[in-house]
Amino acid sequence: MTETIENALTMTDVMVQFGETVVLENVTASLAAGTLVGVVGPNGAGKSTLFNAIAGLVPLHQGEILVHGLPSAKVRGRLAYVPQKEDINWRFPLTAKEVVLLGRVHKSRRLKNSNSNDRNLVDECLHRVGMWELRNNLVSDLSGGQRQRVFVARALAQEADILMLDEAFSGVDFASQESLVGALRELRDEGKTILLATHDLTRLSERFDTVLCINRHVCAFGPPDTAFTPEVLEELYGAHGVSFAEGGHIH
Amino acid sequence: MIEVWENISEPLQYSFMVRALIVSVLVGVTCAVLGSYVVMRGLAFMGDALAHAVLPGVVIALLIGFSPFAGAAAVGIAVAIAIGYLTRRTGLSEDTTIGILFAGLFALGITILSASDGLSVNLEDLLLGQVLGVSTTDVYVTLGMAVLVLGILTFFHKELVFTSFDPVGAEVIGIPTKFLSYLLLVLLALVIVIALQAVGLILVMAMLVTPAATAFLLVRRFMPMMVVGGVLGGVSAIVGLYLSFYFNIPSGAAMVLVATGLFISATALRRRVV
Repeated sequence: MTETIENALTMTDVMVQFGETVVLENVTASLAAGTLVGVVGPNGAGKSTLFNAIAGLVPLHQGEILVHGLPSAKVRGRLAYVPQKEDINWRFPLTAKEVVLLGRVHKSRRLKNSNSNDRNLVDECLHRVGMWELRNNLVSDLSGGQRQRVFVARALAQEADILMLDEAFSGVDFASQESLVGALRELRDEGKTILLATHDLTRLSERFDTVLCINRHVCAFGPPDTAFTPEVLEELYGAHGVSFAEGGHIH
Repeated sequence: MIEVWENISEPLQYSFMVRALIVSVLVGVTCAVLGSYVVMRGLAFMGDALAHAVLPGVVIALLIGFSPFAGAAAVGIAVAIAIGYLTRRTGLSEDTTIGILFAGLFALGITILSASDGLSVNLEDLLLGQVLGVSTTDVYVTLGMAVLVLGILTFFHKELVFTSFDPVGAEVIGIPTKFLSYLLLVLLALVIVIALQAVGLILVMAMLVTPAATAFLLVRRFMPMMVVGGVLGGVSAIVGLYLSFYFNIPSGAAMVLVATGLFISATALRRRVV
């Protein structure tokens, strides 16, 4: 390896404001490619806003976000977003396979059916997340964990190298959470950078390489074992968070 | 058998009936295909509101000797954009701003209509449609609009599906989601304009929503839903027009009753299957 490790994502002094309300401030963090990052914080801490900022969907009031050294507007296809379930129109009748095929939209030709390369890639992505057998089911009929896998397959089909999953554990049972993390770890090992937002503190140190604790600003950033001091937990979740950690759920 | 054929062919010796049939089928099909998006994105109220709100556009166009198509299309597009703008500007919910504009513009249309004497149209035709009175020009305009709307839907198909299902994910990948939502509203305005003659502004919503909803009950996939919806919309229009001819009922009401009957049948059928 002659080249230096390139940072997949660099955030410098990021500030986001909605009107007069400051939603994020002083967010500075760099993530190396091939990292599985837990973005942790209570509801309303600004996790989704941070994702939107990384994706270039909300303007930065201050600071800079670079994706592989470029502003996010120039790297649209390289970012994939798995929205929280409330942002999806589940009424819309698409099969798992059709959802994965959406990942090819920006690369496909207008008015043409998907070509055989696209279809092979889609099939491969469905296999990789273990959703091949259920490919013709409507996504609305799938369980929470299966839906997340379909969206991860879509991100793979998109050939994105940064994946952002918003509240990926909500409505997903424990076993499915674990197998989702297993699938994400494989992608991490291939060099994808994965950010998963969650307010759930369960098994953070087993699940993530790095945690980024957000509560409007960065409370802690680093390996989960060292990042979670009692002070950080108290700031994030109040006294309840501390007792929760002492109960042994974090480690 | 011969009698049935005569019943079908007899009305077609009148050229007004042939024109009415062409316009009705185009309207039925186009409404239902676009209606698949209306149903899946929850735009039924928006569609109904747009249909009522174009009234002043139609009336003013007739007063100044302009094409009512142009008047209705202009107002429809303006309203579609104004609703989006007002919702963002005021922080009120979308159904509230829709309600305000819908009622306000409809009232304006009725006021202008009643204040102006000697206008060749009457309110009833606008409200209930008068498909037997369409001219050859109307047929061409309807055909052109239908081709335009279906063409745009085909052109942007993948992007429209993506944003309708997952607006945030679509935006992240670089799809212009705001543009596409406005585009759908503009298409809605255009379709409403051509549907006014066939079913009238009160019943436009039924042609947008009912065949597409029926198709959803039958196939539960989006592309098949558009195709089956289009067929059901066309069939409703044809059967409705014949019923209107033989039983002397307003054509719009007849078409909507057929579409509603199909919906009820599909509901019953589905219950047995599930």
